[in-house]
Amino acid sequence: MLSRLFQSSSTPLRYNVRLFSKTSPAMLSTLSIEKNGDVGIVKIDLPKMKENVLNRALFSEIGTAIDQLGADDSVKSIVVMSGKQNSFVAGADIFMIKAQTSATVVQEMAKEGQEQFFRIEKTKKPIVAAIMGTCMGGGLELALACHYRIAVNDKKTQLAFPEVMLGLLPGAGGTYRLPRHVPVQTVFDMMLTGKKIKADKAKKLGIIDQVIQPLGDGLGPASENTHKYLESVAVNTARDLANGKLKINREKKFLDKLTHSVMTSAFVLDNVVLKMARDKVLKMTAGNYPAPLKIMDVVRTGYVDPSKVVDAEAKAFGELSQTFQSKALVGLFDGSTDAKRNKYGQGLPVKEIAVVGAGLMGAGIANVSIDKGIKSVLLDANQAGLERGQNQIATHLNGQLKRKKVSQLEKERIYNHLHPSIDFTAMKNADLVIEAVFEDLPLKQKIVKQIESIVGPNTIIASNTSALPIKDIAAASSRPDKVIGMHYFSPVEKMQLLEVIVHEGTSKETLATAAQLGLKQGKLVVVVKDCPGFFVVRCISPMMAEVVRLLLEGVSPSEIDKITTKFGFPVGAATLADEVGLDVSEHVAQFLAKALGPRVGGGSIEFLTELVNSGSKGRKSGKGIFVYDGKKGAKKVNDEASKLIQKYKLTANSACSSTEDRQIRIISRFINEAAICLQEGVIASPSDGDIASVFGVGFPPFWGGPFRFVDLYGADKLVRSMEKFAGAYEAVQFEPCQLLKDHAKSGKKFYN
Amino acid sequence: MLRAVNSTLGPARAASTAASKATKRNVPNIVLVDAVRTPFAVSGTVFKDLMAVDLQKEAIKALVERTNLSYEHLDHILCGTVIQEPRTSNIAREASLLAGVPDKIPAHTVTLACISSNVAMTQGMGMIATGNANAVIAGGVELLSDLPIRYNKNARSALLGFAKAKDVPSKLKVGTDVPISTFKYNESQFALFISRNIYLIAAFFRFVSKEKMLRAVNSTLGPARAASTAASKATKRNVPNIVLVDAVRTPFAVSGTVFKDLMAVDLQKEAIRALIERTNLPYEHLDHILCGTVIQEPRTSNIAREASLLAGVPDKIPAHTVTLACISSNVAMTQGMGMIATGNANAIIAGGVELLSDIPIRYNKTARRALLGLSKAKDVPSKLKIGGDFLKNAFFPELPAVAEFSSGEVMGHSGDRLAAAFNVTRREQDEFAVRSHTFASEASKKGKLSDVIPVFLDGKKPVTIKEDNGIRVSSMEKLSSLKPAFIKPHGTITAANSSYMTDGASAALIMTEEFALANGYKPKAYLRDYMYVSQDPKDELLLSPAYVIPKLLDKAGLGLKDVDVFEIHEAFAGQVLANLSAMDSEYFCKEKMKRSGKFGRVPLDKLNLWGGSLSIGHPFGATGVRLAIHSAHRLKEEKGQYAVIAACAAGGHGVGMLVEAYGK
Repeated sequence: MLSRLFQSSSTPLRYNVRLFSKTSPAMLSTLSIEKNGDVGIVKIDLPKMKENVLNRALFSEIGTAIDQLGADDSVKSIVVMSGKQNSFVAGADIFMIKAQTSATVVQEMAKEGQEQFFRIEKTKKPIVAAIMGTCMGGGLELALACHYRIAVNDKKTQLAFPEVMLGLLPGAGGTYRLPRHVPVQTVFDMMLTGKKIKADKAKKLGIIDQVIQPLGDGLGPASENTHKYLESVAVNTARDLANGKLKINREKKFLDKLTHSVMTSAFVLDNVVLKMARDKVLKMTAGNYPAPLKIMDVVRTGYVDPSKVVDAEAKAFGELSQTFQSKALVGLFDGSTDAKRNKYGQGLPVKEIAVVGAGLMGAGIANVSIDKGIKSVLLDANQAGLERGQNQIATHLNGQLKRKKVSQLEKERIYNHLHPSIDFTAMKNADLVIEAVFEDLPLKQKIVKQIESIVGPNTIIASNTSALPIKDIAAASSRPDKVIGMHYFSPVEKMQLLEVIVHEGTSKETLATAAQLGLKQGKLVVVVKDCPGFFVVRCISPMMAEVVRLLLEGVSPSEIDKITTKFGFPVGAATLADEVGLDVSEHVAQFLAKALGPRVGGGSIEFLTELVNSGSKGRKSGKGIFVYDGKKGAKKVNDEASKLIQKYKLTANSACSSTEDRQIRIISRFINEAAICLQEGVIASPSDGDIASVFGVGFPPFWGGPFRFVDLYGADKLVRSMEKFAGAYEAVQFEPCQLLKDHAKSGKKFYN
Repeated sequence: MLRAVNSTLGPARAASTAASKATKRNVPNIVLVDAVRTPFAVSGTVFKDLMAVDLQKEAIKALVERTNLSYEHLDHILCGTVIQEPRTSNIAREASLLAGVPDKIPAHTVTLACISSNVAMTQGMGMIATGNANAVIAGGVELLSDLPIRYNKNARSALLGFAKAKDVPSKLKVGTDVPISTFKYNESQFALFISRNIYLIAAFFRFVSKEKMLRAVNSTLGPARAASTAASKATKRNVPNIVLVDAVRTPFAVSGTVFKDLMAVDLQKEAIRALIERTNLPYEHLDHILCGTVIQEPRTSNIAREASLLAGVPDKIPAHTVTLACISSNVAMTQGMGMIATGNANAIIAGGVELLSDIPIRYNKTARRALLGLSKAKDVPSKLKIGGDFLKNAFFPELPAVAEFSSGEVMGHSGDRLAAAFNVTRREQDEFAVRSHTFASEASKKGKLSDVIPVFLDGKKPVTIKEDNGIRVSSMEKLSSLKPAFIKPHGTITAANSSYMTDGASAALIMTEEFALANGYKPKAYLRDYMYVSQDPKDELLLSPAYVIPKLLDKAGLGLKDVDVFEIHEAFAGQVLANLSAMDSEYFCKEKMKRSGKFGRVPLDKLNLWGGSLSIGHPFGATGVRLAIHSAHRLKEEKGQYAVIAACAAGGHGVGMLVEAYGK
């Protein structure tokens, strides 16, 4: 992953050509040079940083170091490795790119990086990259510029090109060096998805030449041992390469060679490979992301017109760096890094939790806890429900075993942390109990009382409610300071967001404990103040009301899906409503209408109520807005839904019915509510709101979230549209909040 | 010779006055705390897709939870099973790891047909009685929904030979042998097997998967592995002096050579018969026979019993089989010591065997299931379907996994990583291998390997095998030219500096000193104490000697200098050297062994002076007895007082035994 870590003073940030002279090793601040006999060892070790990142200083110093060793006659071969055990090089310093405002400047920076790596590649002496720890982006490009690669096969050592996730492309030779080693499909697979690859897989693919299995404890701790071992193997390998004992043989099988030459011929490449890849990318991104397309172009250049690829890569890198999509994605990256940090102080230790309710949510919560080694008691009122939950977890673990994510023993060790029971007293030793029962206040209050009658006085009680006010739940508690909301998103195993909701009486210690647990579960934690719907549900509800209005105005469900996916939502809004469950949406809409008034309204709730009562509850009931009969092909609209749409029909206002109008109508309802939340202090910062929106409901990532959207789209433009809609519909529903108006007026941005 | 039975304490099975014997021996009261079992299900029904290890795991997990057992209180796990699943030879270990039991708690497996879990319980009681445990879990499992249906012997040896066939013609020959034999098997062997299955299924009927648990706690004395103050515990417990009278072994032969046409049971028989002959043991003196083995030959699940019957031992003398990887015959010895200590035996034979020339190459699971289902299929179409399933899978055999069940790693890889973790160089390993072969060759030439008994092989070319055939002193040049065998290209373990696949058997006669003297035996050594350890089966798979030696000596109140003879099992040269370095490492001793400082280096001039497993060979189940008798003989020859045996085993296990010279 590209690191956002700020540079220390020794690694200057400003853009400046050739900071270091080629002959002054004393100035080397990012690496050291050692010698083992006739092997020179370059050890990258950025001071005071957890991970090595490629910044300008390192780029230049590594070139200098290689030149120096290249000129030293006593050195016959070279090893490039990291002084850190957890990080080879984690990527380019994102701060270095973020700070730039001109494509040509970034292009020049990329060129300079390319040059340094060419210096490595063109060195006559064999250079071995010895990889342990994260090796991504620029780190992998550095490794690819070396002549031979050895990597440790541990969990921390992962190779990847994650640039696409930041709206960028590998800009230091990756686009033309990787294709030399792997088939074109793998090139795209890695560069278009950013997937991480472990050493043994990378060896099979041909990216690395030799794998080292990690060592255990020995004369020193395990990772130190492994690091030393890697060094000694790399040194011997380098020496053998220099004296000819070891020959690099990457000869592919005849069939592979044949496939390769066919696949990469201009004709097949353009008409088959790239066409398919492009279709797939366009289908998945609706053309909203420029980076994947640019990556394909540049890689194509490498195959068909190799002399131009170096410049093409640098140019594309410069261009992409200035796209709003890249800026939004980088912002998102910063935000999610922040949401992974514990900002809430030291909580109580949580060794054991209990989850009440073994439904999809409850079992999911238990699942993400046991695989972090937390003993989890999973409870349900009846055996069948419990078994369903147990099976959900077992199925998930078996899948991981099959995909070799875990070994048999690891799987069992994880599963041993699960303690399913229908006897509620089994929760008696839990440090924290999460209730995940049906969304019904009296039921939840009853459960809270029941929990308190079993657990010790220090046990924290968390409610996994999506909308019910925590203070109302806490009202049933004899220790409201220990009651908190933990709102997970379904499926819990996949969705990264966790909303932690504090009511007025929640103690700091309780918050710290819950947040700490969420972070341990691998979640992005956003703390939200107690209010109806909290943040995510509160924002999505008016948006869904607008979707219903569009439906009733006669916009077809598939058209709604189309315009929302085109806008960038991963799932169309009509389909999303079915996925969430129309009954849930209806329930929340009723509830929020009562709590927040007409502002959150839109299309009629009666329509939803009647539809739900007819048995169309969404995907889970086989029909909702669409019909789910398991058949492939285009989705059919549910007849009952069509009938009810007719019944509750509204007349569309032609002045507000262009595609963009419709999109902005939908999205502005979300954004306005988000801004009101910020105004009211429900969320602490725009970044929290953006993270919650993107990771909770799939707000288009390339827009970076509602607040980033306002910055990029223009608050004034948005406010103007909203004012137009306010005139056409119930004004309160589109009335821009004060914060948006202020931003529109002053041109102020949420992010600087 | 005087052979009068003269003792205050008769053998357990001899007298009806035995009731008060246990009290006399001052054995603590042993209690059953609780036991659980999984539901017992008819084979081929609800549990049919599981492995036996899964069921045993469930039982252990549930027992621990129900009894609220704290793992600090648990010392050992024993499980009984009859039909071995080749992937989990020591099923007790694999099940306890899967159940979440810490890897520090050792476990071993026992086999005595339908009373295997009784053996687990009583052997556990022995451990408690001797002060080697406070609490044990004893269990058992059987999963008859799946059985190791093998290819016939021709096909097996063809498959085993395939790797060795160098040129195309011999590969072709091997290649044709397999299919031909596969079908031959269908005709002949298959019928045999089915009938056997029917017998077994009938015998077990509803006891398809049976699991019993014993957790016994005795509170009078602390657990063996807990305290260093335990030195005099054995005396306190009033355990009698136990002596090794003698031990023998067949020559150890490289697998696939002279013994390749035998069954393991033949070799074990030879060892038992020779031992009885050499010690002039009248059968009335013998109370029990225990044998260790790793890879079970499915036809002789309780090989101890079959071998003793073949050896001419009267059928009145019970026998059972134990499995704990490479230290199986140590388990046979120490469990026998437990029987003696509890007054349940005066004299026992402990042996062990391994015949790696033949291993159970099975049909794959689909084919096995088809064969097992054939008898149930009623109509022609379903018979045809089953036949089709079988044919489709007949050519895809399942080889016994060489890899650790829990980690999936091959032992050689782990050994190579271990050597690297302790910075043992290739050269050091090669030198150690040369040393081992040189010492073994000298010892053999000078006639010191008197534990070897001749084995006569009849047939067209009758021959008597008189010596080990794997000892080969080669030059350093030759050794250093070899390519690494496991980790390529940078590994340091080669074929020459690791132990090789070996066929062989051993047997030892063990009794109380009192009984020996009363009956005119001449003991060779005292078996003073023993200790089992275990740890992480991945990174510390072969590191047990380093853990057990210091602990065992602490327990005995002895120091490194007090030991005159070391016999450490040589799985790999790198493994032995890594263990020596571990005991001599400040970091390792402090951080991993929780000692105040380093323990010290075992002096090479006391270590394996007659060679070791690298040179003599290593039939898994038989090596432990060889280590014991070599210790005894070396103590005499080198005029020493104490000897320490240490060995590592798959599963991350290890054993340490303290041997004292007799009559010194």
